[in-house]
Amino acid sequence: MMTLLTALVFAILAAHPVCMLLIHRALCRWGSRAHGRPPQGRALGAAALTSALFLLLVSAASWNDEHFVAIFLYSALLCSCASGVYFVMFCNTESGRRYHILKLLLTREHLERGEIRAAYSAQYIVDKRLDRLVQWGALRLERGRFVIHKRRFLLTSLLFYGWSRLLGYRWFPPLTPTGKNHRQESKGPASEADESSPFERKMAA
Amino acid sequence: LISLALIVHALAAFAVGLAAHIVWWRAGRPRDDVLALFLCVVLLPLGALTGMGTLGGAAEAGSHWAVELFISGLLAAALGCCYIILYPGAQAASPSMLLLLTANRIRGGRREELLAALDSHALCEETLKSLVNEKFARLEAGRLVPLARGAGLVRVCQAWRSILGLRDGEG
Repeated sequence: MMTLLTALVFAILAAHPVCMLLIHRALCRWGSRAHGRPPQGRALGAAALTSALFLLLVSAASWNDEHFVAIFLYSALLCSCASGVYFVMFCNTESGRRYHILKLLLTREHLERGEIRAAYSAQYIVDKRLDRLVQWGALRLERGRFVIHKRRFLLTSLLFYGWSRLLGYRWFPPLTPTGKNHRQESKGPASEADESSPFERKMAA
Repeated sequence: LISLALIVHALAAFAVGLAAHIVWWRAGRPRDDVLALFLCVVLLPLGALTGMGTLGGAAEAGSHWAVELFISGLLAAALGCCYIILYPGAQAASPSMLLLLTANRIRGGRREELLAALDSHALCEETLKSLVNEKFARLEAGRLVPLARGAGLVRVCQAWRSILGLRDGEG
């Protein structure tokens, strides 16, 4: 049988996602006057605030238990997972390509691939993302050039890039000290370049 | 009942799922990423935990077996779901990450230089492909038509944003 404490911990954890939504809603209503702030910040704030609150509740409920450390660690892991899912899902509704393309398909029926690419062009994406990255403080505008400001965003990107390489994905080919990519250097410049995508060819150049 | 041993079991089961995912992806990427990922990082860990409990004789020895399986299984499944949500960031390179990596690589760049480093074909193509492969939309005479799965996703997200009182994001 499940002990009373375990049941209580699960009851607290089950309420976590609903409370996160309510706190997020309150933050959105309260913060609607703070123009120029990225909305993802409020989602992150709601996730962090709810997790901290619920970990306090779990700690208070299990303080005297011999398995306090395990209960706290378990709850922290579950809260982190729930917060992570909530935050990433929210970011997807804010700027996710998959969501925006699906929305485009629902509002303007039966689009061709080329029309989607035109409606959701690189120019549009880059403009929106650069503005947001500056808002977040990830990039800084310095004499007309965008330079890295807060390195933790870059480190996250590098982590994702490393993971994608481990899975065998190729965002852009690695450059050798001679400035050529590995495929060009090992198999000849002209023939192999044709195998890569236009994006890869631009990065290699 | 929650113990460090159960947490370690859940983490180990999740690690087994991740290892299987890496091996599968390196051997040849599956067509339906989401289904394959669900199999690797949710179902496989749950199966491993059940197998570990059964082989360890836990079912016979203690009456807590089912509860312990629930505790460790819930954590392993939560980690798996979290990974599935994060995975598109590595699969279809996020434009924000590409911009950061490019700005770092060229030691700061102008808007046009960063734009030149990206390509709308590459930015959209992987997503369009995965929308069709994962049955969110289908190709019909060269045109994309949203399927029930895709329409459902959009409606849920729109309802969520309306609860929050936010207008649609701008991409």
